[in-house]
Amino acid sequence: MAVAGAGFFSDGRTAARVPVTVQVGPDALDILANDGASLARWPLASLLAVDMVGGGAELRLSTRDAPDARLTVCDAEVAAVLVRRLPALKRGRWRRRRLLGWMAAAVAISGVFVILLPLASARLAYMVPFAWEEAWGRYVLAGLPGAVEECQGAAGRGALDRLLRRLGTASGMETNFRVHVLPLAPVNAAALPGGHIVVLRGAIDDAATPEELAGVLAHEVAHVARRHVTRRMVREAGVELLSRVVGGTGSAGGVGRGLLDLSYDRDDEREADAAALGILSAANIGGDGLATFLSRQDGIPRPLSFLSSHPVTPDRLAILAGPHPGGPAMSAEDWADVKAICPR
Amino acid sequence: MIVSTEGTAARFSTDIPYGTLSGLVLRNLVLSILTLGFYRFWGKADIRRLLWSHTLFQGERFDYTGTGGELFKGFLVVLVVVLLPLVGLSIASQTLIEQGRTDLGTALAAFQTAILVALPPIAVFRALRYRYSRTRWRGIRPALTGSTLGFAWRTVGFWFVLGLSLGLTYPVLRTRLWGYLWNRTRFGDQPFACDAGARPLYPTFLVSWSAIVFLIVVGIAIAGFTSPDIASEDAAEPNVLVIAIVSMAFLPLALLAWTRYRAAELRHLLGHLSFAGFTFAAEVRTWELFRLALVNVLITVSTLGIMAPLATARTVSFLCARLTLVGEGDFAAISQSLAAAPTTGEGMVDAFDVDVAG
Repeated sequence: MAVAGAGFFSDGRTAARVPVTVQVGPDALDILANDGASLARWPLASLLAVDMVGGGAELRLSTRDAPDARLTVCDAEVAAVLVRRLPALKRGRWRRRRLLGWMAAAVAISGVFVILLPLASARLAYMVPFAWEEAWGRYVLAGLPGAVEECQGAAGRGALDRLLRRLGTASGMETNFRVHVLPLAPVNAAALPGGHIVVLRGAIDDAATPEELAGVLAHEVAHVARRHVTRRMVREAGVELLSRVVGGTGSAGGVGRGLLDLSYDRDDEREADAAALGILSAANIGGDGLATFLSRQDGIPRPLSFLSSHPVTPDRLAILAGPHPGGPAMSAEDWADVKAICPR
Repeated sequence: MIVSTEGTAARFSTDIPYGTLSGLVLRNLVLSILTLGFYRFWGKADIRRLLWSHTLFQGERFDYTGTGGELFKGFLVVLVVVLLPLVGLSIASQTLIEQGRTDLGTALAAFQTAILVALPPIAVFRALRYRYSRTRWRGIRPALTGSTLGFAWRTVGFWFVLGLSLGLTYPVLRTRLWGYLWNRTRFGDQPFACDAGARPLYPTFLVSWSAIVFLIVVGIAIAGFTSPDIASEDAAEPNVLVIAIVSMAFLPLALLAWTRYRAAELRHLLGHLSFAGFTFAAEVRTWELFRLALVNVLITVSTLGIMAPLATARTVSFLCARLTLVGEGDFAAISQSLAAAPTTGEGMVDAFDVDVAG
């Protein structure tokens, strides 16, 4: 049984639009001009859905044989018959399958990234020549706030350098560690690439004993020794690349990125804590200072504090739990010099 | 129904279903998050298909024939051909500078900057060309001919001069670039022609330009006088409240002044555009355009950019409702062009986050 209805036809060669009658036969669709002349005959199997507007009130078709030709079926009954015969016109099923495929691919790719990126970054970090790291470190340092006003108290620097040399030797690294004290109030310290260690004045002010400061420095030395910083930069480049690939400049990629970064940081902190204890012990310095220092920071809601980059968690304090006996980190005179390293 | 000639005026119209569009935008957002962003290419194609198919000219709907797969492929190509070399270039120049080979490093950095400056117009041109090639009206497609680099160096040059002239050459920039694009645009085998000059725009432009400069100067003066002594140590916080109030009052005023020019510009540019025996005419009033821009900004900002496609749709509707083609023409005489179409999507636009506007 043939169904027929009104429509419009453009043949894809010119922009003429002709009112037509669309007649649906058993396996082809006839496009007839108003005088009955046949303009085109499209096999049903060749039909392509262009669009459906108004829930089928306007079905727009093309054909594989002439993809630029357009047929608009304005008859709801004819449209319904066509859709019933050719479920493909009502896209949907395969789209849903495609979607599931994409989701599976995304989960798989991000899974691979979460597992492989830390491994790869660890490998790659050891391949970066130390001279590059050193230059990187200087570059990062120059960009820090307060870097131009680095505290230069000579006596204090001498004492810090001696302490750092002891810790460096104990860490087994042949790196030439250098400490930079910046006149900033937040209680914080950081390891930059290439053995540059930054300590903010706030951390020196806050340390009650030289052993506490030694603990903080040992923690940062451990970060350097384990190449955490370089590893992190490699990782950040990787995450940046991934989020560029999948997220573009949009915001959707950013969420997962923060999560990735955070989970890596926690691991690094635990590793550095454990290594710091080993370094302090090898340098014969009492190892309880770091735990004392950290537990004092816990629960102080200060922006930019030690917590934001070194979150104090119960498992960290458990790793650090002492007692770890040992000798003093420096003499009382040296400690007084360190405390006075920044001009007031 | 008139078949061969279509009267003395041809019109655009839209029937965009905003509810469906919003649903689509939200669906795309959810799927993009679930797929770590991969879905956005397909989402973008779906939104375009919806917008195109609800835009009509002479009662016939436009079609968008592009696919998400093409956009994704285009993005991958740009990633490999443009983004990765740029990253490599930047690492190389930085390493060279740090190792003391400053001249070579600086030269590389300058080269990289030149590429970065030229890329946005290249991206815009290529995106436009791609979108035209995936557009059909009565099965016929528009096309953009001309060279990408020709457009890129003109754009960079005009923006450079614009900076030197404190913005005074803006109407020249707009008319020249608009003319460059439209004089290289065809629909089927019929070319568009644009003969808009900058001179008639200047009276309106100078009024808007002066108003905006005046607002900026007064705004800075007010903020400066009411802030605490800048020389003192505690000047880290200028008077935020005053700055907020001044911005709230002055930004809409500046936008209004700017809109007055943009409305005149739109009327002028479209009024000098002709095609197949028709001349375009646009009735765009300042106040209407201001309301459109203001609501669009509110929609976009209040949804953190998520609902930006709604703003695009509103702009399309706005223009379509005001655009007429006047003259005697015969669309049936327009044939399909045989120009080759690009095979992959507009990756560069995605990578550089520029959009094809105005």
